[in-house]
Amino acid sequence: MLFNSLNFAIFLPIVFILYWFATKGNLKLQNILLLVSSYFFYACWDWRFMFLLIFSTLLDYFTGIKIHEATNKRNKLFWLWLSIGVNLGFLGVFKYYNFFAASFADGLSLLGFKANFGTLQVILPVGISFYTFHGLSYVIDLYKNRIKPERNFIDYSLFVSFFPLLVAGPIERATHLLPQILKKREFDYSKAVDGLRQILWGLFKKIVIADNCATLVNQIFGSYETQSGSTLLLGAVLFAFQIYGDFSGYSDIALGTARLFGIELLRNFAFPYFSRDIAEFWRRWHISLTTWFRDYLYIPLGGSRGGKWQAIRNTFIIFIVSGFWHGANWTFLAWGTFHAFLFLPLLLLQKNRKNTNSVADGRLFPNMKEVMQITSTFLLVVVGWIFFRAETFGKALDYIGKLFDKSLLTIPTYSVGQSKTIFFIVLLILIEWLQRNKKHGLELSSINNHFIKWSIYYALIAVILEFGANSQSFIYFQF
Amino acid sequence: MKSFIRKLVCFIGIPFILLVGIYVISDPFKTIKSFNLSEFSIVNRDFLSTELYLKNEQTQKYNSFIFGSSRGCGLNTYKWKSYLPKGSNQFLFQAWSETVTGIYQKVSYLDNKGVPIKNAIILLDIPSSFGETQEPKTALGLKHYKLSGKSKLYFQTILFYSYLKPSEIFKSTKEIFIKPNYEIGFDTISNDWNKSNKENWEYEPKQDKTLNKTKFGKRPDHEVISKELINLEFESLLKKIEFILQKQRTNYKIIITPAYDQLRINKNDLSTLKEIFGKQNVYDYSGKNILTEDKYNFMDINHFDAIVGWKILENIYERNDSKHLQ
Repeated sequence: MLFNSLNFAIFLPIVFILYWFATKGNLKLQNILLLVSSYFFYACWDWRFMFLLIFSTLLDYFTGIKIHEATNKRNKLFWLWLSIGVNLGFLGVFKYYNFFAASFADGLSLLGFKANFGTLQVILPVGISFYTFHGLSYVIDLYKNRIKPERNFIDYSLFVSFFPLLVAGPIERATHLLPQILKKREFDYSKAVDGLRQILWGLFKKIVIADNCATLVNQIFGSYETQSGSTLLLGAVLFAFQIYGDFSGYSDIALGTARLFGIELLRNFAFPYFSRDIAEFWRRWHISLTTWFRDYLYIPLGGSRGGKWQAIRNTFIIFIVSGFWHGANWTFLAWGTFHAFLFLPLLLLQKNRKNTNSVADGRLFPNMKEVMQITSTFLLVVVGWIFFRAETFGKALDYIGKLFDKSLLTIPTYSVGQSKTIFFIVLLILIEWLQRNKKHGLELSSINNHFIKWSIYYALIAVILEFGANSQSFIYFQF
Repeated sequence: MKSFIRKLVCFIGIPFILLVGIYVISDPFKTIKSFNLSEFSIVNRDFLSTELYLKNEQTQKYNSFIFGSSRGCGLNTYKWKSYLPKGSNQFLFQAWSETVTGIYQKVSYLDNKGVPIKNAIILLDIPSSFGETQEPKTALGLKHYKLSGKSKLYFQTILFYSYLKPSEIFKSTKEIFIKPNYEIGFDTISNDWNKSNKENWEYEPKQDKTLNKTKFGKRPDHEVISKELINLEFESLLKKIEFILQKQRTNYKIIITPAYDQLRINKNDLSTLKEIFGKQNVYDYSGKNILTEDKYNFMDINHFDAIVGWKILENIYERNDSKHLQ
C-alpha cells in the first residue's frame, strides 16, 4: 500500500477514526488497533513476509528479556549475539546471498576457476533492512542497560512494526519510541494539523518532484552513452532531487502520519542540500541511519578516540557498511567509499563539526562563501549519486568519464518536460530555504490567517493533482 | 478533536461535493448520461464503442468486427462490407491505444455471449499494441467494466480520479455553460468515423486536408526495426484470440498497421504472429513501403488516411494486383 495511493487514503482515515473514537482513549486498545493495522498494512505488500516480521519480533522480544535476566556478561553476550546473528543472517540471505555468490563466482573465474553456486529465487521482503535495525537497536540498548525490556508483547511488536515507519523508516530507537507507545496519548490539535501539513508536503515532494524527475532521469541514464556532458550533469542533478524528493517525501508522510496518532518519530532529513560540507550533509541526510551507525557501530569500534589510524579505519567501515546497507551491488559500496574519502579530510583536520549552526543564520540570503560551500558540497554529493543510480560500477565510471568531457560546456539536451520539473525544483529550493529553520517545508505555525493557510494548501493540492507524474515506487523500498 | 474533524470535513468535504456535482453534471468522459455519438470529443472510446455495440446488438446482429486502436479510423467498414459475403453486418470495435489485452477482452466477450464472429480484422500497431498487459488506469485507456470484469464503481472511481486535475475540472465546468463545437463524430450503427460513414465513401484529396494540421517531423533516413515486443504473456493472449477465431471459423486478417515513423516490426515478432495465426492471414504494412513513404497518406503521425485503408482492403482481399504494397 503506497502512501500516495487511494488505498492508503482510505486506510488512514479509518484507522484514525477508530483510534481516537472507538478505543475511547484506552491505551491498550489503541496499541492493539495500531498493531493490527500495521500488520494489515504490511500484509498488503506481501502477506507471506508477515511471518518473517513476526519471527524477528518474537526473537528480539525473547532475547531482550534473556539479556536483561542474564546474570553474567557471558550469558548477556550470548543472547545479544544470537539476536544479532539470526537477524543479520536473514538479512544476509534475502538481501546479499545472490550478490556474494555471483561476486565470488566472478572472482574465481578471474583466477581461472569455474564455479556456479546457484542463486536463490528470493524476493526481498519489504522493509527488512529497517525493521531488522529497529530490533537490533532494542537488544543493543538492553545490553548497554539503557532501557529495560518491554514485557508486553503487543507494545513491543508495535514498536517494531508501527506502520508509518515499517517499510522505509525512519529507523527508530527503543529509547525514543517505546516510551511514547507506553504513554497515554491525548489528541493534540496543532500536532495533528501540522502532521497533515507534513503529509501534504511529503506528497508534493514525492509526486511532483521525485516522480517527474524519475521520468527524465530514466531517459538520460538509459541512453547516457549518446548524451553530452552537460545533459549527463543535468541527469545527475535531477537524480539528486529525485532521491531527495522520494525519500524525504516518504519520511515526511511517515512523520506526519505518526503525529496524527500522537506519536513523534525521529526526524530523518534536515534540508541536506543546504549543507556547507560533507560532514554537515551526513548530519542532515537519512539522519536515523547515520546516527544508528554512529551509535551502534562507530562508537563501539572506538570512534575517533583511538588515534588517527583507528579513526580512518572506523570512518571507512561506517561508510562502506552504510553503502552496503543500501543494496547488494558494488555501486553502493563505491558510493559509500566515495563519501568516506570526502569525509576523512574533515575528520582528520577536525573540521567535521565546523558547520553545526543553520546556514545564513539570522539572514535571508547566504553570503558568497556560503553559496560556494553549498554549491561545491552539492556537486560532490551529485557525483556520489551517480554511483547510487548506475546499474553497475563500470557504467557509473563511464557516466562520470563522459560527464567530464568537453561537451560539459554545451547546452544540455532540452525536452519540454524538463522546464516544468526544473520550475518545481526551484520552487522546492525556495520554499525549503525560507523554511530551513523549521521541521519541514510546510510548517506554517507562524501564519495566523486561515485564508492564507487554506489557500496555500489548496494551491499545493492543485499542483499535485495537475502536475503529478505517473506513480513510481519509492526508491528506498528496494532497501 | 471535534474542531479538527469539523475543519477537515469543511476543507475536504465541501470541495469534494462540488467536484462530484460538476463531474455528474458535465459528465466529462461521457460515461454517465447517454451521449450523442455523432459528436466527437476526446473520451473513452472503449466505453463508447461497447455501449454502442450493446445498444445495437439486438437490432443490427453484428457478425463482422474490426478490432484495434484509433488507426482503425482509416478503415471504413462500409467499404469493408463490399468484400464480405452477403449478410455481413460490420462494427468497428475500437478503443484508443488498444492493446492485445483489450482486443482479447473484446473477442472473448463476444464469444462468451455467443455472438458469431464470421469476419474479423485485427489491427496491431508497433509498438503500442504490445504496451502493457495490465489494464490502463487513465480516462482514455480504461476498459468498459463489462469487458474487464471490474465493477461499475471501480470504473467510475478511476475516471473520477482522472478528472481530478484543475485543468480538467476547469474544462468540464466551462462545458456546462459553453457547449464545445465538435468537428467530427462517429457513425451510430457501424461506429465508423463519420467522415466516412456513407456507403459511397471517397477518400479526401490531398489539397483538401484540413484536419489535424500536425507537423510531420523528420523521419530517420534508414528503417528502424522495433525491439522484440511479444513476450510470453502477449503470446498467450494471441493464442487465446486465435483459439476463439478458429473455434468460430472466422475469416480473419491480422494487419500490422503502417505508421508515419516507418518503424518495422521485429522479425521474431512477425514470425510469432505467422506461427500463431498462419502466414496467409498476417499482413505486414510496417516499415518503409509505398504506403508509408508519402506523408499525405497520413492524417497525423499516428493515423493513416482513408486512402491507405482502402488500399489495404484491396490488398488483403486481393481484388487487384497490389501485393507490392507490402
